[in-house]
Amino acid sequence: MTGTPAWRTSGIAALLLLPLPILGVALFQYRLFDPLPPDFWRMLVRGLMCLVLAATVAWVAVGKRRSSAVVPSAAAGLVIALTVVYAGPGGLLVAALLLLAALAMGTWIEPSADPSPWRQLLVGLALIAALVGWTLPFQVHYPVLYFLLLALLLAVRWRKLTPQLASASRAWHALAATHPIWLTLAVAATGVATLGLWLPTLNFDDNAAHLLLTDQLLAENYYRLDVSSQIWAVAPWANNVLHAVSALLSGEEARVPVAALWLAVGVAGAYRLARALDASPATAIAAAAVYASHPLTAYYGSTMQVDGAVAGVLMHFACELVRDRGRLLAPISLGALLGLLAGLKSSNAAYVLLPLAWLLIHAWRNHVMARLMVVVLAAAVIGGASYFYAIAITGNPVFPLFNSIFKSPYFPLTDFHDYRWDSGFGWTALWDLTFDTGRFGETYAGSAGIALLALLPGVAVEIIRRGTGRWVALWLLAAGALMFWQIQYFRYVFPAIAIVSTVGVVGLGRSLDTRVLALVVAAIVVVNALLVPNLTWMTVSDPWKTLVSERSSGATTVQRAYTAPRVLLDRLHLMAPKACVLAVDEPVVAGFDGRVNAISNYDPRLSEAYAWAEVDASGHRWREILHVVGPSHIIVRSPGTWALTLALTAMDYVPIDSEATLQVWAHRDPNQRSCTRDFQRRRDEAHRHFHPDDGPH
Amino acid sequence: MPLESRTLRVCLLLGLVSGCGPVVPPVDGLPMFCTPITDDASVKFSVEPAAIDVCKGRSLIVANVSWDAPQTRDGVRIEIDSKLDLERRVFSAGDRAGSLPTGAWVEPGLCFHMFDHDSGRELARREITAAPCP
Repeated sequence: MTGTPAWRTSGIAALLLLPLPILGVALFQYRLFDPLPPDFWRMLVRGLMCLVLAATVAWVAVGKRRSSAVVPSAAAGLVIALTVVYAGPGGLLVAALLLLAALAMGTWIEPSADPSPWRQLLVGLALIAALVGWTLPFQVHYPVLYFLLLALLLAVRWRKLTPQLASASRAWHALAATHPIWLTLAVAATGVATLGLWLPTLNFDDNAAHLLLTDQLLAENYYRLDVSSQIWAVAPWANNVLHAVSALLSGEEARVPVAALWLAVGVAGAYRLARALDASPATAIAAAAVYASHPLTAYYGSTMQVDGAVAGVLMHFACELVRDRGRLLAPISLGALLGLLAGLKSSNAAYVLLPLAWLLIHAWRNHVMARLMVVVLAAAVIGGASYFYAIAITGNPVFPLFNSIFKSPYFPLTDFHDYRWDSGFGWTALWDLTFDTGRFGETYAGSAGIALLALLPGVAVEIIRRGTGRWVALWLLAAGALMFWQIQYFRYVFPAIAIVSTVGVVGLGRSLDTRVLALVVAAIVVVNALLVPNLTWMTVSDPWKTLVSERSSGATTVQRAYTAPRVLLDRLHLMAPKACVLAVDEPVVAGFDGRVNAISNYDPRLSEAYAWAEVDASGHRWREILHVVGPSHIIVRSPGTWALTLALTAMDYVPIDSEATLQVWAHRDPNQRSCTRDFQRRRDEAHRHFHPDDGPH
Repeated sequence: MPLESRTLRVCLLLGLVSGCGPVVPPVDGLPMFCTPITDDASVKFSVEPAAIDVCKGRSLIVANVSWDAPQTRDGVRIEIDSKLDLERRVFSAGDRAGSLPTGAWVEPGLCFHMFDHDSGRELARREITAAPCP
C-alpha cells in the first residue's frame, strides 16, 4: 500500500475487517456457542498449553543452536503424538505406507525433475483407486498381495522417492525457519481438525454403506457389486476403495489412514493454491490454517463421507490449472486429478464443468487438442471404473440417480432425490449457512464455521483485482451456487466454501498488514474450533471427553453411546463370526464381513418385503421373508412389531442379546443357528457375471 | 474366473458407455410385491374393474386387462399373483398391446404385473382391491 494516504489505508482496512465485529455480535445473538460443552473448550485450552510446553521443551532442547524453527516442528510432533495416542498408532503408520505407495506411483507417472510431491501423491492415489477399482469384482484383493506389490513398488521407485521426501522435508524446515509463528498457528488449527480422527467410525452412512466395500474385501477378497442390497454399491467409490486398501494393509477396518491423508492433502492444497495465486508464504500458511479450522474439516476426519477429500483434491486441481495456464503441460496428471474427482463423486461434474470449458477453449487456441484428449482419456480410465460397472450391472452409469432417464430395473423409475434438503435459499444464503445451518443438514447452527463470512471482503478484493484469484473465486462461487441450487445440503458445498475462503485469505493478505491478518486468522481459527461440537448430535455431547478420560476403552464407550447396532454386531461377531444377520430396524451392516442384510431404503426389495409382511398380522409373510433371506440372527427394535414377533416366536427364535433399544434374536437351539447365504449369493453380481463357477464362499 | 456373461464381455471389450443389452436383476427368491411402483411413462396398463364391491357379496369377478407398451421389443408378459397365493402365473405373453378378459377368478388381493418380455423389467403393476363399504 505504498503511497496510499494513511486515512485511506485505515479506511480500507476497516472495511475489510467489517465482518468481524458483526460476526462477533451475531455469534452471541444467535447463541452459536450454546451447544459448546465446557469440557471441550477446556480440552482445547489444555491442548494449547501442551503445545506451548512442547515448543518450549524443544526450544530448550536444541541448546546453542536455538532456532524458532523448532517451534512448529515440536507442535507438529505433539499433534502426531496425540493422534497416535487417541486414534491408535496403526492409523498413521498405514497412512505413511499409503503415502509412500501413492508417491511412488506418482513418480512413475510424473518423473519430471521438479514436480510437486503433492501432485505426485494425488496422481498416485488416483492410480491406486483406479487399479483397485477396476479389479474389485475379482477375487484378487489379498493383503499379502498388496504388501508384495507395495514392497515391489517401493523397491523399484525408491531412488525417485527419496529426493521428493527430502525436498518436502527441506520445504518444511525452510518454512519453519522463516515463518515459525504462522506455521505453528496452522499446525494448531490442524491439531483441532485431527480431533475427527480420534473418534471411532460413528457416522450412519459409514456404517450403513461406505464400509461395505471394506468389509467384503477383508472377508472375501472381492466386492460383490450387490446393488440389490445397497443402492449405492456402484456409486463412485474411489474414497471407499482407498479406505479398503488401508484396511487390507491394516488387517482390519481402518478409517484414520485415508482420513489423515485427505486432511494433509486439504491443508497443503490451501497452501499451494494460495501460492499459485501469488500470495506470500505467510498468507499461504494462513490459508492452510483457515482450511484446517473449518469445523467440517474436523468432521471429515471422523467419517468416510467424501466431500472433504473432494475439497482437498479440487484445491490442488485449481492450483494446477492456475500454474498450467491452459498449456496442458502434464496432461496425464491433470487427467488423473480429473479422474480422481470423477471417481470420488459424480456431482463433482458441477465443480469441473467451468474448468473443462476453459481447458477446451485454451486447448483449441493453443493448438494442444491432442493433449486435451489425453487428459480426457486419462480421466476416463482412472475415474471410470464405478461408472463402467454401474452401466454393466444396472444400465445406469450414475445409479440410482437420474433413473427416470436410464430406467434401471433395480430402482423405481424416479430421480433419486433427498427431499429433506429442499428448504430453498435466497440472497441471505451465505449468512444462513452459518447462522441457520440446521436447515441445510443434520447439524446445528454454526457448524459451517465463520471463515467464509469473515473472509468475504478478501474475496471481493480478489474479484475486483484483475488477477487469477478473480476467476478462481467466480468459478467456485458459480459451482457452489449450482450445487446449492440443486440441493440445499451444506456438506456438498464444502469444497466451494473451502476454496472461496482460501481466495479470501489471499485477498486479505494483499490488503492488510501481516500482523492484522494474523489476528484475523487467529480469531477465525479460535471461533471455528469452538464451533466443532456443533457438527452433529454426537459431537454436541462431547465424545472427546470420554476418549480423553478413558483412553484405551474410550472408543468402545463412545461406540456404545452412539451406535448401538454396531456394538451389537461387534459382539455377535465375536460370538458367532459365521452368522448371517438381517437388520430389520437399523440399516447398520458394517463390521460383519458383509454378512448382514438390512431392511431400509438402501434395499428397495427388502423394504417392499417389510411393508408386505407387516400387513399380515398372522406373521406368515414374515416367515416367508425370513425363509428366503435365511438369517441365523435378526436385529430388531424392542418391542418389535406384532407380526414379526409372532413370526419369530413361531420359528422358536428368542432374544439372545440387547443393546439400548435393539435386540438380537436367534433360534433357541444354538445348533440350529445356521445359514447358507443363498440370498446373498443370488444377489452377488460379481459372482453372477464374472465368476459364476466359483463355489459358495 | 471366466467371463461367462456375453453382455459383460462385450461391454468390457468395447468399453461401451451404453447399449450393452438388457439388464436383468437377479431372482433373489423374494416374492413379487404389489406395492405401487412408478410406471414407465410410455406404457398403459389397466385392469377394470380395479375394485370389487365385496359388500354386495361379490368376491370373484371377471375383469378386463388392457395394455399398450409400444417401446418394448418383444412385447410384454403379464403375470399374476395374490396375497393368498404367492405362486406367479403367466396371464398373457407376447403382444405389445392388447386386451384380454380374465375368467371369474379375480378377487381382492390379486396383483397383475406387467414385464418387458425382453429385459424382464417390471413396467407396471395393478392390485385388485376391495371397494370400501358405504
